Amino acid sequence: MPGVRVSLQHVSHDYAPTEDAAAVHVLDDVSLEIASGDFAILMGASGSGKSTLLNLIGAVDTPTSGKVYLGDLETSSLKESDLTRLRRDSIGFIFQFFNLIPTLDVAENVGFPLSLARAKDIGGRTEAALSEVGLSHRARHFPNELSGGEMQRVAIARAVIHRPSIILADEPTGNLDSGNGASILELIRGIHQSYRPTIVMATHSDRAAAIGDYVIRVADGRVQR
Amino acid sequence: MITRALVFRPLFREKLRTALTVLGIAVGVAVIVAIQLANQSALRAFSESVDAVSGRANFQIVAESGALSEEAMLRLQPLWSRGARFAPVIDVEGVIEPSQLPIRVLGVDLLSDLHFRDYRYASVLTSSEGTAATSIQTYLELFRPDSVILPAAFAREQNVRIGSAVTLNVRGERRPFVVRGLLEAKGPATAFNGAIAIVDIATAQQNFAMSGQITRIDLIVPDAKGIEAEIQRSLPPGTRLERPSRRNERVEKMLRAFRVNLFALAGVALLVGMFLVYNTVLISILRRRKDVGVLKTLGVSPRQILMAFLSEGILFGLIGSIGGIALGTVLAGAILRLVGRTINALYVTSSPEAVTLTPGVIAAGVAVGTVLSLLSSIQPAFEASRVRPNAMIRPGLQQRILKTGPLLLMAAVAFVLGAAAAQVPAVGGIAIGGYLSVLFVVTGFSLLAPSILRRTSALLTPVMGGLFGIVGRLAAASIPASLRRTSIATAALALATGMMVAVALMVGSFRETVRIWVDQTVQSDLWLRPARGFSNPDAALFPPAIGEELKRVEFIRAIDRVRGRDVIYGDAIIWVGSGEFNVTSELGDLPMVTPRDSKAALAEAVRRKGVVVSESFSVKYGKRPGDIVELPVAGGLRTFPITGIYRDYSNDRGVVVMDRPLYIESFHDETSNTIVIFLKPGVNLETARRELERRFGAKYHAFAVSNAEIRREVMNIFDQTFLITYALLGVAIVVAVLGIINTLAALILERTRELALLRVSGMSRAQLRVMMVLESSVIGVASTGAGIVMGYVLSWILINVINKQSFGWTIEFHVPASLIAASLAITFLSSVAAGLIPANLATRIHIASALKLE
Repeated sequence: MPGVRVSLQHVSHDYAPTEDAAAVHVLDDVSLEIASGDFAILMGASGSGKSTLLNLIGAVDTPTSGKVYLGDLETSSLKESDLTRLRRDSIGFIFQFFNLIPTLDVAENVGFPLSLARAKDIGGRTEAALSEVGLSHRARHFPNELSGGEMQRVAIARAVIHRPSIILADEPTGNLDSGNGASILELIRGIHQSYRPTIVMATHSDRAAAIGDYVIRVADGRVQR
Repeated sequence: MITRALVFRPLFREKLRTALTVLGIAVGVAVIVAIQLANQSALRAFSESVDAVSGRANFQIVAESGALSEEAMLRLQPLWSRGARFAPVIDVEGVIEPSQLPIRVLGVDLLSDLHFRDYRYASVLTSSEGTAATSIQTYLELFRPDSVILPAAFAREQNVRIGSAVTLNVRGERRPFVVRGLLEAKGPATAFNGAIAIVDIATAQQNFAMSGQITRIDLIVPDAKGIEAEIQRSLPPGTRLERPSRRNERVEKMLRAFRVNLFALAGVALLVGMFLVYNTVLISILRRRKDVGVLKTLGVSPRQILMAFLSEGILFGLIGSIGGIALGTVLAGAILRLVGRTINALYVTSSPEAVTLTPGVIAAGVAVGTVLSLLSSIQPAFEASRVRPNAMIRPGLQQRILKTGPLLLMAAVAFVLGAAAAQVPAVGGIAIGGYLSVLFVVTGFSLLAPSILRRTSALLTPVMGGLFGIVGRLAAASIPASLRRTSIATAALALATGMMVAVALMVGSFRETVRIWVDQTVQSDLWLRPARGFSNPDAALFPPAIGEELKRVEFIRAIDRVRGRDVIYGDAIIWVGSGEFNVTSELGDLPMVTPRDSKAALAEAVRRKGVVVSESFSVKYGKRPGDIVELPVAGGLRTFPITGIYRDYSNDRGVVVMDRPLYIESFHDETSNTIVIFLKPGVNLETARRELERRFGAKYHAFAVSNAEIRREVMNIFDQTFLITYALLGVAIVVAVLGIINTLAALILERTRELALLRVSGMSRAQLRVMMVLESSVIGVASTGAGIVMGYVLSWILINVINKQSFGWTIEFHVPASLIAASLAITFLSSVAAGLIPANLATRIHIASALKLE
């Protein structure tokens, strides 16, 4: 599925106070456009609001005020069941700590989004996705039997198996050595070139930032193109 | 500081888990407290009544056979000058009509008895004016041969006032009386909940065919040396000198096996509660492993960690115990009614009312809850204190891998020990070996829980995967991944289910055995009884005359007059019964243990002036045919040869039965409790019944009861007796289900990130909910399966060891299929339902926070 346009209009976000922490003002009147098929890089210091932006784009959180659009769809006003479907069908996530499901093997982890949607030909598509990331021989291994680089490849295969129109990556190389990091970046660039999804990647690394089309800087809850 | 960081704060933050654990312990303690309170109240009601009736007497002379001659008083005369005081007493049970309530009738010398008992008259009737007054002269009215004195409160309940006519039916004699005195609630008027009638002793002797007889002599003996010995020397044959409290001790002993059984059942609920505490402390440690690691890195000693977690166990125990005591007091009221009914049906008449919390019960409740809670926290606390800091901090380490090999070995050892314990004989009438055997079997199955759970999960994976796709496979796979926690919840539910199945099998087998026994025993057509519906047979009797009249009835083929009484045997109270052996031989049936043929045993008993004894008597006192039994009869002790052992499920104290002529010869008692009637062939049962009631109803206050009604009544008493058993097991199931909720809720806290990830990957709330319910279903299937097997093993021990040693009954094994299916359905569905609460918690996870992307 080709990429989709991402649009944030006057978005602010606060984290409500908890027992442990006071209320935090994370994003302040952010407006942002990412065109369909773009590979955008989010850069900024820790706590600047990068991950919150990813959460809002990825429909795992809703803004305190303002609107978020994926294409023409305003996600900030959707019901939970619609958000679940949106995440399952249109969005792929790649995390710093891989977040594989420890009780499922590699193939089951990769095919997981398709299994949830009861899609057809899960086996064939899983095989193809694993082959794309070079891990066909690891299909029946469990996450704890893999290296860090391999775990991230499995996570990437899982993120793209349903060909989402948006891929969100949060520090995908942050937990890897430079060799593995480079090959993961290469893999992500390859995916972008293969079917042109919209990719938004948060990173601290200039090397990682170099593979994107442009950089959006996030500082003190505001963005600069 | 350490305790605050590791224990107090987390407990306050995880309110649901804390509340569930405290509730689990509280329910367990509540059951123990409630049973103790109910038993205590039932016994206290009895002993207070005995005390109120005994008054200031510190000794009593009682006849071994029930009645003694009033001439015994004369022998005591020389002791008067040495300060001893004595009072003749007739203390018998009877029935007040028309309400037909059982009533205690106390015949005393109204003048001299004031030394012994307190009577405070509320009002007395004067004959001349027919009005109530309280002047001294009016008391003379109380000595008239038809005067009766009742407690004022009881009179009000019966709608009876001064001057009212009442009928007392005592020892088969129905006599009209006039209420001429009312007593305030003091002294004897408080005994038996006020259901007591006081008459002058001469009135009692004259009206109840006891002329020249009394039932005991109350004595106040000064604390001088030698007097007691002198009284002993002047005792007439067939009597004994004893303290009034001896009666309480005998009753207490009689109830001991019954009470131990109830406590053992309450123990199940508590044991399940213990699993819950163990689980909670273990989960606390697993959840806080990182904090423990950090504290250890900062220099906190293993001992400090150990103490912190042990204090958590104690804290749970203390709070749970306090809650349990409060809950137990409320529960006791309900249990008291059930226990009281059983005690009344099977043992003694006692009318317990209020439940009083005593320091002893409070201490026992706190001790049981706290000590068990502490014990269950020792192992996990010790483990936390020993783990290296880096192992605790390292991310990704979920928990120590559970090795099932050593557990299987330990389980095998537990089963061998259980088999050995089942062979140990009873100690003091209590089946200690049996209870130990149950404990070992339960331990064995608990140790098997992880293996059973792992196996169940492996077996269910393809089924659940096929039915629910990836959600089902995930649910099945997640159970072995957290085996240590889930297997404890499984063990707890398996234990509760196992006990439920075991008791269902035991009670079902027992019920079926009793039903067959009743069918075999009750072969007569009608029973004639002197009152409707009591359990205590001493309360109403037929006089001898009715027998001859019945024999003349044209449609009656034969009658069997049945009479029995409590008799002191050694240190216990047994039942001595009698019947007409020739009638039983010819028309009835007595289910025998040995010899097989009842006719031979009964004929031998008649020929040798011997007795047949019940199975429970044989087991309790080690008596076999050929042995002799020595019983106190009128005029002293007499020995009887035993010619057979028969089955009797109506009494666990032991029964000795003799032929009626031998009974009359031994006890000088020609009354009957019940008359069993065999009709001539072709006579219509209903017609015969109506005719008997017409002819004998008014004259003897007789009620005819059919064979079917008797059978129904026996089964009703049986079902009521076991009601409490089911109630207690229900509590155990509730505690176990709390355990599952607790475990799954804790697992969700631990798996928050994993569950959030599933949600991000597109799992809907409904799918997540299904997954959680499936997880609890895996636990349910494993526990139910283990519970069935455990239940069969436990029921074998209950039937063949505990029951046999406690009550001496042989029970044939029967499977109450529908009862078992129902209990299994209840436990399985409860475990499935238990998944719903954690499932709702899981769907409320805030995905973004849980993933901690920031």
